[in-house]
Amino acid sequence: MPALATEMEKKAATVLCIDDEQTALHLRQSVLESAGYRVLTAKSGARGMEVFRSQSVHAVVLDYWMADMNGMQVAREIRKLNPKVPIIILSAYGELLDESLGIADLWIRKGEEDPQYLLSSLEELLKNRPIASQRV
Amino acid sequence: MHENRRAFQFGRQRIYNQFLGMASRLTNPGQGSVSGPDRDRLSLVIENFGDPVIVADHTARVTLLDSVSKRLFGSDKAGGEDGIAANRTKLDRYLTAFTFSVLECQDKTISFYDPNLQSEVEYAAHSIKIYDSRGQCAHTVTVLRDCSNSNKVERLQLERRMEMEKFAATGKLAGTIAHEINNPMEAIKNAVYLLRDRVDPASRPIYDALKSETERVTRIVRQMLGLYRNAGTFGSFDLNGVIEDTLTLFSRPLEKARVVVDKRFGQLPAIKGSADQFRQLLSNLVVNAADSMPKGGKLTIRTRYTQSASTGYGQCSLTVADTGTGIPPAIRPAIFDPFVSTKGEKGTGLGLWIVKGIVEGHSGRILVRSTVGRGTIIKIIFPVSPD
Ligand SMILES: Nc1ncnc2c1ncn2[C@@H]1O[C@H](COP(=O)(O)OP(=O)(O)OP(=O)(O)O)[C@@H](O)[C@H]1O
Ligand SMILES: [Mg+2]
Repeated sequence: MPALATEMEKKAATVLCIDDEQTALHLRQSVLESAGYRVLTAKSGARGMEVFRSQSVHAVVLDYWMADMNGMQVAREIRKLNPKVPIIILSAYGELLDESLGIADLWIRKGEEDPQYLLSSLEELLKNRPIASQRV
Repeated sequence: MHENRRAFQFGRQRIYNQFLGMASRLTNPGQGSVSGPDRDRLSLVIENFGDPVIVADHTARVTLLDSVSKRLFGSDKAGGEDGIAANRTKLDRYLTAFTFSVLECQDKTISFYDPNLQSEVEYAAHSIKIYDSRGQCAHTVTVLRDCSNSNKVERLQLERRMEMEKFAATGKLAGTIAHEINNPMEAIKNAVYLLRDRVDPASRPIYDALKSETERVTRIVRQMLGLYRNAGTFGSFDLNGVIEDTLTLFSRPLEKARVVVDKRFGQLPAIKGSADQFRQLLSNLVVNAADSMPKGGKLTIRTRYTQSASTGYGQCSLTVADTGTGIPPAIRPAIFDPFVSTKGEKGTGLGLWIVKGIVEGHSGRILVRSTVGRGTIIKIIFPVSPD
């Protein structure tokens, strides 16, 4: 029973991916789609916020380094709108760890982990939380 | 290169005596020219001497500089820093005077510019002639001994500080590069992952190579980042505890590799330094030891604390010994240099370089003893100040 539920949640789950690097964003989208997620993409923090406000999103995967606003700012804005939605921040920089505690659910060191790590973490985060819609 | 020298310094006095003995035997006319085993031993001795050694031929042309004197006089090709060029000129003048003199040996004081200290340092130059079978001067050997003994401690401290700064700067650079690599790495890994089911059988080996080489880059970057991340956090920690933690982490793989672990912990005071760095140091040494015992063996980890009754100063030692293959002699002088590895794509060659940086950051020393076919002992000694 629980396995089935997870599978269904995953099918239904929409992940918002935010990154200002086109290639990276596109590949990450494909990886998430290959695992059955519906993926929305945004090429800037501001655009990401627009998408988050206008659509139903179950989880957010965002890059820390973006030209307009950094990943932490985006995460804070999202938290204001929805304190529960899982947020994963990707960063090649280690210093983020402390800063992100309490805001992002997970911080993944870009490039060091395999894509499977992102997928299994996402699955875990979506399983442990009641699915929240975009507005509280 | 000269940084490694410290590791080998424990045998220096012995080497010095050996050197003088050999030199006097070789300078004895009628004993033949420097050849065969004596020549090999001579170069071995020179390489492990610790003080600058210069060998020149009968025309006063320098034929051999050990790594310490390369630091003062540059490598074969002249040039580079002004100070080094000036040293070279001084040396040439000195050698010419001695070689064409009637003297068999000579002692003289010369000052040379030390590029590390960025100042002039006084040396006692001791030179001897080596004669060929006809009694002609074939070579001269010159040893420079640092006279500023009174400043020796200060100089060592200064040198150590400069080395640490160099290491920190290198670490920072390595960290920056590693981060820059990690951005595209994520994309590459995603791409490799997406291709996993779409490769036709004929192209499979190419795909596998792509995948394993990508993992290799990850390992290099991880080592570099480890160095960077652990740069700062100094505190007080229980070394035996850190060792226990690290060994727990490795207990599974060690068991699988049929490596028996023998722990011999001494009573230690709290160590001042970075526990994270010691974890990194230890895991590098443990992995090296395990790698050297592909058919299993024994890994001994020992800690010890000794204290001077008069001064209250103590020192702590950490020994990691294995019964493995031993370090190939050819790479021994370079094991602490970055990117030196015999493990092909499985090794980054950064492990011992990082170990060295960490040990120096804790004002410690590393002693290495290794016998091919029998095993390797790495001993780390660092001071523990009282309070
Ligand atoms: N305990 C040991 N026994 C035998 N050889 C060793 C041992 N430790 C180091 N070496 C030799 O020294 C080389 C350099 O070691 P180092 O730890 O710097 O790099 P590595 O082990 O090759 O790579 P990495 O540490 O990144 O996996 C090794 O490749 C190996 O040849
Ligand atoms: Mg190693």
